[in-house]
Amino acid sequence: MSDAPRTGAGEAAAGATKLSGEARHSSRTFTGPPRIRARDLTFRYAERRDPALREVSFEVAPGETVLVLGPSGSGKSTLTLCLDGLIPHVVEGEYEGIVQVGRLIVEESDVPRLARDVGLVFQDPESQFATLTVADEVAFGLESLAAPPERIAEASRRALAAVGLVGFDARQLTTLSGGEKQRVALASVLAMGPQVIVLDEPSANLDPAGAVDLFRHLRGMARDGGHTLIVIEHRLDELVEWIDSVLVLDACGRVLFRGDPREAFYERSAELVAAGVWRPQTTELVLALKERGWLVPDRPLTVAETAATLAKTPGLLFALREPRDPGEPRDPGEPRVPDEPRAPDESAGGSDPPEPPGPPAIEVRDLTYSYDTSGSPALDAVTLAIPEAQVTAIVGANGAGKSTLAGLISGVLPAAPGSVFLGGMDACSIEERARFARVGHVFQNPEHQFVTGTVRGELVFSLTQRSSLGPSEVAHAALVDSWLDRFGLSELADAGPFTLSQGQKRRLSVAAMLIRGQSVLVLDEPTFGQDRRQADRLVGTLVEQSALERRTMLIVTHDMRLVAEHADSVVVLIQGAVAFHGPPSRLFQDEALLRRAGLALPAMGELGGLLRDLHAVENDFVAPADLLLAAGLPGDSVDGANAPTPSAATGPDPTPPTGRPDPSASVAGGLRPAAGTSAAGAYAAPGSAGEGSAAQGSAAPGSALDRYLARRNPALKLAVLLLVSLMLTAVFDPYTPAAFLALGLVVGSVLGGLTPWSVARAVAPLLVAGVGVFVANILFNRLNDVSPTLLVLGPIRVTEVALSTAASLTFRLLAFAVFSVVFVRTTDAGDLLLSLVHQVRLDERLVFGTMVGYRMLPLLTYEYGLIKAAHRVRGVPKGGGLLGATRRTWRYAIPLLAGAVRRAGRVAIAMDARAFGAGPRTYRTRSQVVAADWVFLVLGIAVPAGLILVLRLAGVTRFGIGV
Amino acid sequence: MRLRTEETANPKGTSAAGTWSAAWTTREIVVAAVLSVAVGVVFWTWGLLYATAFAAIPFPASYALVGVWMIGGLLVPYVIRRPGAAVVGELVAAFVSMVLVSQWGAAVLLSGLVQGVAAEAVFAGLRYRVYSTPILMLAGALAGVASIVLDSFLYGYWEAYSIGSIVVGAVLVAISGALLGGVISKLAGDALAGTGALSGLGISRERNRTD
Repeated sequence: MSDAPRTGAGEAAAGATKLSGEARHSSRTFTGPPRIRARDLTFRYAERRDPALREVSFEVAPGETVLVLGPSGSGKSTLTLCLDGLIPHVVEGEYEGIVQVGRLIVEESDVPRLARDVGLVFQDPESQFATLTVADEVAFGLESLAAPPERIAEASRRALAAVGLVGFDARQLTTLSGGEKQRVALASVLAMGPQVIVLDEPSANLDPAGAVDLFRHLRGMARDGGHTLIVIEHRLDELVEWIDSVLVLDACGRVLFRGDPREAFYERSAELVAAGVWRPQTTELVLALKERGWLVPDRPLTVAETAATLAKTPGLLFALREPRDPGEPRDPGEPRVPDEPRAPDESAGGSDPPEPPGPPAIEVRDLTYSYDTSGSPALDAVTLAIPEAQVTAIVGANGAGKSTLAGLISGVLPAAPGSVFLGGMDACSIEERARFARVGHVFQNPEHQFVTGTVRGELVFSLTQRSSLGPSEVAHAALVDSWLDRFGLSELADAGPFTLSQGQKRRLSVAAMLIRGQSVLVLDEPTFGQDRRQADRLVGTLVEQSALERRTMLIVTHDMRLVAEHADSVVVLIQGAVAFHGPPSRLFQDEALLRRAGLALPAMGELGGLLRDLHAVENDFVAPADLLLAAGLPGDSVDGANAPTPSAATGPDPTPPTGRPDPSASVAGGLRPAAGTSAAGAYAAPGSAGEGSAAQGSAAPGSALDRYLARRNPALKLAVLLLVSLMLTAVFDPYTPAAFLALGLVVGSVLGGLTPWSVARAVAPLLVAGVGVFVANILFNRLNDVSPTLLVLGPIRVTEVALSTAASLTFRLLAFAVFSVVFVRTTDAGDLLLSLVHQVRLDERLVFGTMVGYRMLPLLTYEYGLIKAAHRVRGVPKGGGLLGATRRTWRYAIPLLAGAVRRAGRVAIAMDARAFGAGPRTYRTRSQVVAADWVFLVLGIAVPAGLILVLRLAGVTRFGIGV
Repeated sequence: MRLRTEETANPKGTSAAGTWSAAWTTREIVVAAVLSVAVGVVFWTWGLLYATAFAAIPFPASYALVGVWMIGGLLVPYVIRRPGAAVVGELVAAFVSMVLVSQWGAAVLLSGLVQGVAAEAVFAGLRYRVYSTPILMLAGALAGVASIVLDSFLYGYWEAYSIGSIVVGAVLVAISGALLGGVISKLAGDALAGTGALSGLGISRERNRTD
């Protein structure tokens, strides 16, 4: 791929001299024409005032790996869209300057052409997939480029092998872990054979284990030099080992620095900090040491380099080797907290911190919780006591039960009586409004909690909840103003909450919760999606404010830096059980536990291990401050010493592998997602309330999806369904539709493997609808006047014709429904849509759009539950009859739809980036119509028609009511 | 500097020449689909209520409630403002409500098609330029009338009931389509646009122009 000559010495040096000070970067050089060249690139989005990028110029050599850094809103993501032509070709705005990829000038090339050369991988896997299975997703781009099926198969095989997913072809995307999903996204780009791959925070939504998984493969790609990689990332400690150079953007979208990472992180460090950019933890440590007068040689980046460098630093190891009382582990992060809980033995569960005076703020006793009856419990016999006025972090892998525990404590999820106690009182005995006045819950997505039209309105709403007074703006105005000011929202007081930036939304949601003055506050991922400075400011304000008011805080997070810096104690969950509860410093010393919990060892812990191997030190480190302390230096005064850990800024739990069912799992397999039915569940992922979401995975032998009906061509099956329904519309006696009803049940059972009982249960609600049909016929049947009377009910005459017509129409409805249920349950959604393209010749773009919308269905249901719960926490009143219910539904629906539309926009970008709609597609596989399908079509028409004919000859079937 | 307008923004990269959707961007297609899916869930929920809580309301009075089922063919074109949006919105929503096990079975696909075409006719008649409240109400009313005509055939009204009661139903469904369909679509579209999520789509281009 790489056509430019490049020195091979870099790899050799990196491999051989693992412990030298500056292993790799300085020795790898690039020559030849640049792969990417940007000149004075300026871009302003059509609906924004200021440009997102200003006069950006840089070059990237073939095979180079570039790390892009910058604070939130610095235009990093905008830059990725400029490289593959989505800007200016798809996204509207003002564009100036020239971007060149290889020989192509972006502005003059079309998107599909650019998509061959530049691949994009985005943050959230759920927002970039266009299809339902791994094989379809990987083939998507080449299908768009109309590649022949053999080439698609070959390229897909190679791409999956390159990301270590051989044999995953048939898997439904919803069954994959977060790390696997991102590797599929990477494979779907690799399959198109691009020279440049751009990754926009690919690990942001992954838990630490998933990130490690993804980075392992990215590192291999960076090392072999076959691709030019542009990576936007926050997890620097894992990246620094394999990047060649950095590009730093400032808050205005200008290039702040372009070049060698060592120069960036050492010589230009102050500028980076000022711009709010994350730095590797190792460089922060070394800089702090240098600042304190240690003569640290070199400019190490990786942990290994740093260990080697520290070993070479005159006198440092000697200082670290000072004997120390082994019974007293160092807890440098803790000195602020006098009454910190003692670390229990790690056998977990039964080990509580010492009882403080009075009841603990939160007590959890033997709490077990399941989202559905069949699955394994999301929480398993959790017992915890959390003292007042402490900051407790809840950590663990995705799906470990963190959010579930948080939800049960706050009351967002219903806990059984006697399992959750607040200040010694059984939480179940507290009325909901009173409970949410004591416990606040800040949800991960701030939008979910907005209930008014303005920023000020959000705070006023909370204040009116606090006092039982009405919204007396006068009395509250000054208080609200001071809060707006404290959270940096004064200038936005009259703006709509939804129009704020992500960081502003987060601040508003926290302020609106805090101002209500709860004594306990639960926060779900408060630092997600924020840059270093924003995260620091928000958490700082929170902790400060809460310490003043003696508030107890419970923080669900992946952000180990937050844990190290702010938590008094930390709870580790593994598969719904408490594996550890104690001070963070203890946790970070226990490598085995961290690994078991799917948490990454922070870079400083790894460094401590290496130094130990060199027999340098006995102790472990959590943060740079520890090492400084170990060397006899004041650690807590280091400017930003506690650098981002590898697991900083991680994301939501979209794909819990165990315990909680996957929000989108129910799309897999059968046509019928379990949405809707579970809309009432507060927090439970959709599908959990529906029937057996797990069972719908794939066409297991013997299931409905393996039977005769399931193997028929979906389009022809749909045609039969419509024809049978139309035949029924001609019939007006009760017996013929009843016979069809029976026929539907028999066909479903014999050919579809569906028990008549399960089908009948699905259509049972229609019996109620039948009542309306009877009433209508008794009142309005046109032959009531001439038909014999059967019964007189006061002024109403029930006639023979009314009863027989009503029975006929009710059976008709039931028969419609039975055939429809049989069709839906024996048809795979993906197959049906493909068949509609191939056999019915529906527009392919529409069909793919529908597929994306369909994928989102369970997610919509899931989010609906979240929004509902979030509004309950805010104190949105219940009741109010039909009008109240309507108003509430409206309030839920708007943020739900707004979120869905935003997500749709991101999926569309990801589809465009893979040449969607370039022209007629080819398909990896074609929907086939075989002889058996034609036989089915003929029988599907002949059997019902024959049934009508026979019944007609027998004098049963009537084609009107007047006979 | 060149400001990219509606016309130039239409990506040369994503045009599928020769099909009706050539004018649509990928984002417009996906957003239309996602909105339609959401409306499909509303259809399904309304169907449940209709068949249970409102089951005792007999024909033709029940048609006063039917307007909600026009929303797909109104909200989606109101937001997207492209040819075909009404048919797509209503048909995809109907498809989703069928998949969620609608009691009306495959018949909803026909209903979706007919209602979508009726609403589409109104927007097309005005060359896809006018999406005011009265026009949305008119499209809703027409779609409603189309629905009762189809239903008369599918569910046997023409045979079972007097012509007078069917006419009453048609009047009710026209009013219902205008209010529960047209007005609600207008309110929902405007509320969504207020969140900023619809920027760059037809609805907010129009709002920017009139602001």
